Amino acid sequence: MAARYPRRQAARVAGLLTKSFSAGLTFLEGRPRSGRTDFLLQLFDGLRESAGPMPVFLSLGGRPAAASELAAQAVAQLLAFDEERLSSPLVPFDRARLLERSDFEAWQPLAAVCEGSVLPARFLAALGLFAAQRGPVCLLLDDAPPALIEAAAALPLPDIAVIASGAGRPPAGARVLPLDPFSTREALLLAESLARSMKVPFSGSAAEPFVACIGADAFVIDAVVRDAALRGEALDSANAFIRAYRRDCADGTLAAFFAQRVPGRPGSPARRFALELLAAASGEAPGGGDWLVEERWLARWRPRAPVDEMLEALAELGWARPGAHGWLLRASPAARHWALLQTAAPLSARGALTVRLVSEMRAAAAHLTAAERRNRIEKLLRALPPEAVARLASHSRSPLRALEVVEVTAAQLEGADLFLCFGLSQGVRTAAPGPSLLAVALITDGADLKPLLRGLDKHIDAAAAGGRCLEKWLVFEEESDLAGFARLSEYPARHGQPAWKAIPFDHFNELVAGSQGATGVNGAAALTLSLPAEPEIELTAVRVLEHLAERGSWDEDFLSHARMALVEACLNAIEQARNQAPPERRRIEVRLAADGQELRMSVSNPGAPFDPGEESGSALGAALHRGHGLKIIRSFVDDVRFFADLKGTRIEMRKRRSSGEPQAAAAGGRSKEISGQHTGGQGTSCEDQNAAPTERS
Amino acid sequence: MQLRRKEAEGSAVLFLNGYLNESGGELLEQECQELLNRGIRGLKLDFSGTSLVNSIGVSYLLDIIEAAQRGSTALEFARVPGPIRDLFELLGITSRVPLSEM
Repeated sequence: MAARYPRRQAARVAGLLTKSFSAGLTFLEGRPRSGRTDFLLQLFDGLRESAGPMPVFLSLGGRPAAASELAAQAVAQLLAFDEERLSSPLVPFDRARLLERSDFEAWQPLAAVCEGSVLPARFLAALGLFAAQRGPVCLLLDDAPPALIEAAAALPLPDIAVIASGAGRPPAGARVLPLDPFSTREALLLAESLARSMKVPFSGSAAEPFVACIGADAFVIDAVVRDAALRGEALDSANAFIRAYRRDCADGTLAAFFAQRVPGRPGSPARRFALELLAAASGEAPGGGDWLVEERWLARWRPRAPVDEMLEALAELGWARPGAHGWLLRASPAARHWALLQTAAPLSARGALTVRLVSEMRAAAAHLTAAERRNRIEKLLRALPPEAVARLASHSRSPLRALEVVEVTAAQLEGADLFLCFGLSQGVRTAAPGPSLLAVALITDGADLKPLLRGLDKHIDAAAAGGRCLEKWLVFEEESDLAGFARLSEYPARHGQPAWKAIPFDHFNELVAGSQGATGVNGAAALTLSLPAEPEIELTAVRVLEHLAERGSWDEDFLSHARMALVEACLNAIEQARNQAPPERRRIEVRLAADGQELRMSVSNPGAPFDPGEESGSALGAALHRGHGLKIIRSFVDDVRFFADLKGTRIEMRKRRSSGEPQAAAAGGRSKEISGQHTGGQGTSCEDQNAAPTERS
Repeated sequence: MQLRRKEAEGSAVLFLNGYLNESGGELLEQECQELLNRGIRGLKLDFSGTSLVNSIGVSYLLDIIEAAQRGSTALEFARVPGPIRDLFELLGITSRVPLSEM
């Protein structure tokens, strides 16, 4: 057992027993893993140091009954008291002695007496006789089987006080001692001490009030996770701690914990659904409990409860949240990643751009566990570059409402917009991707890529004959996974098709949680991006704007002015978010909408309201204070408005299309790199700095 | 942003490639200041490879302009792309620094 948090209640009870011994049974009430063992051990220490009754601690582990001869042996041993040594073989103590689980082997016969109707009485009677000779005894039974507890309650033992914890309910008439719950601070302190003992990095700080304690371990875990989340930290360290700690919790503690905290009326479909998920997750997922919600769970519950009801129930827990791409489900508060929930049919039927995910290549994935496969898929999705998926959204020819991710088998690739291949060494044995293929992303685990990619390239080329495959990504976790990447260069990029690009796993949550595309009629397009407030993130917004421009055939001047205004608005939002918003809220939202008449851009950020005239000490702030940024915005768009409240600031800009003939769109349709280069139209091309500039009229 | 330098006969040309933002501006200013401290007579900034300039980048350009004026170094902006030229005109840079196409 790791660090033990001192319980005042144990000291209190020890004092009471010393001051006024009271025989009989007291049932120690508390949930599993709520610290009952700890309490009993501390009570043992307290009694041992006092002049109170002699404590005898038995860790019984709830073991089932053994043979009757073992029980008889136990009684005999107990009665074979050695006067000279003042001890008995069964209870070898002088004053008192803590009996650890390792000692229990010698006490195993006691387990035999714990079940059944007669033997427990004999054991307790023998102990009672001993106590009568040697003084009052406080028998502490940890995790006692119900039969022993019942027997202890039924027999008159004037010299034995029994305090027992165990499964089941207390016997009728027994005194009940409820275990005091941990306070928030105590839980965090315990978490810190546990982390130290496990050499796992963790730093806790009391943050917000917690729900009433369900169990010490669960409480600790909850405190750890909430604390990390509130501090805006990735949960990696918290998850590492929880995984290390959970190795001691082999009894499904987390499932029990979460089961107690599921909202909803008892018996409600939503509650049952959540419990089912949690039970499955605890049983299937090793380690931290990361898992994806699979369609079979939804299919099972769909007839009984609307998906929304179930999702809202989970949202109350903070385990699900509505993202622009559908619901995002977190497997548990301890889960490190947000998993992607496959929404039910009604949502899919709204004509969403569907990202079809190949969850496994069965023959090749046999060596991976289900949790490992899911974990890889999740990582892949997190690796997709935000601007790339935004481009996918802009290229969709179907009415686009949301970007969803669904988990399908390999046979369901046809019609996929994005084919994510969970790449392994056996190659792709599937139907060819559908004609609407926009991109391919392949996770590599370092296997030989050549045979895999040969077949895949063929499929991709066939599918992209219409020029639709725009991206080919090789997603890797470790550099070593790219051992075969050099071979990719052996396959020349087909005409109009991109070469394979190696990309590391990256943050995909921003994309999945925030990006939303919508296409309306008459070619109108709208995109919403939720971006982290990081340097140069404005370039991502610019990329999306440029793609809108391609769709809308904007002239270059219109685009360039809009681009500069958007950049300045983003810079302002980033500055505000980074300086004034708490870490977990340092994001900006960019909305772009365009139709034949005008372009509407909106950039918002959390934080204190922005005063266009306020000074700032940073370079950005200084620039804004000089008025450059705002001057640019006001000059390059037709209408700009500022909105500010306690939640944050929003800049809305409108730029009307010219009344004249729209200029030809910029030439070139190649995907654009993050370096910031872009092609110009009437202006000078910036891609080839050696080219002679085009004279601007 | 990347910078490439070419020096000849007491003058220098800096080729800007990429996004002139805060980090690019810092780099550019350092380069320019080094050249100015060495007493070059002429300094040309070639913007043909510049894809985008934001207001922070402009602030650094203004600092460079002022530093060049203090040091009596002839400063010139060359091959400025159209959209960036619009920006320079808006912020008054074109009235302080000659633009050229060579």
